[in-house]
Amino acid sequence: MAILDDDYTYISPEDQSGLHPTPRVNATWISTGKWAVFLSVLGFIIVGFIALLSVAAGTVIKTFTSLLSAQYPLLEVIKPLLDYLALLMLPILTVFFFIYYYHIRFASGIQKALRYNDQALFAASWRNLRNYFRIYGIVMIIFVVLYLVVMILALGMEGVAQPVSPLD
Amino acid sequence: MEVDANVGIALTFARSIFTKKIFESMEDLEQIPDATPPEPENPAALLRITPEIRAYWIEIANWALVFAGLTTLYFIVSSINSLSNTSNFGEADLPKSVAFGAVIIGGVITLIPVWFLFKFATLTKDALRTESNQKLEEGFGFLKYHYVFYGILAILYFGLIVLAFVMLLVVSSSRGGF
Repeated sequence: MAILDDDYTYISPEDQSGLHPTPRVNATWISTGKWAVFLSVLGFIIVGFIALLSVAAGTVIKTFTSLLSAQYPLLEVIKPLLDYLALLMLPILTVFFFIYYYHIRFASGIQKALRYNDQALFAASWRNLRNYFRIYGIVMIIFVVLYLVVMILALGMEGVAQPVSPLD
Repeated sequence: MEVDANVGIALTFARSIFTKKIFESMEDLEQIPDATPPEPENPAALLRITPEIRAYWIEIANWALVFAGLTTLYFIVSSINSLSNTSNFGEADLPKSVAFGAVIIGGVITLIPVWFLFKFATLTKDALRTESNQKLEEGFGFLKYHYVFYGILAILYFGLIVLAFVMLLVVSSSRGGF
């Protein structure tokens, strides 16, 4: 009767696939969930901290910009935007808030689903992780494209005006 | 006195019978089967990997591959930018060895979790294609390593920030305050 002790005993007849949660992958998911909770909480703290900073930082950055504008002409372009830094940061921070929101919902959901054998919560957790990866992926695409555009612009401006050293 | 002694013996005898009865009844209680059903050895095995969940995993793996590819691209471009002399961001003032060292450390920090994510994506997709539980375990193991790496990195960063703050306090107090 050793075969009855095997994990296959618990496979539902509706399940047509050979894949099923084994004890090892179960432990891995619980551990992943715990780390994901930690990283999500950290993410929320960082988002809150940046929100607080962006309210006050506009004036500070503007002061530095006026000091360095002679050296870096690109800073003159973004100078008028600094008055609205907090407003500009709001959509970015909202997106990041939702990234960590979906992440923490995955993290807590997967742990509860495994503890209470909740199939609906199990599926919802993976949906939340999918949403997390989807939004993070889109943000990453935008970030890399912007980075490449800024780099090309900077290289183009370097050809027009060489940075002037304050010692010259 | 003899009567008292007899009463005492009778009481002791009655007590011993009583306690024996209690012990017997306790043994009987122990033999009563537990009302709650026994926990299964693998509770998670009651959960099913439905087609919906399989679709989520495929999409997660695809986004993980996009994420890994873009992070690698960003690292390569930023490394070239840091090492080239035509940089416009000030790194050109650094000695070559310092810039090279920064690129190596940056590479370790950036590319190791990206490799974990890549392995997770490929193994999970492979597991779904071949119905292999072993590959599924390995795939999600790499996802866990990805999280563990970032978790430890975050702890190290915060440790360094706290250390820097403590050192700042020590230095400022030795100079008589801010």
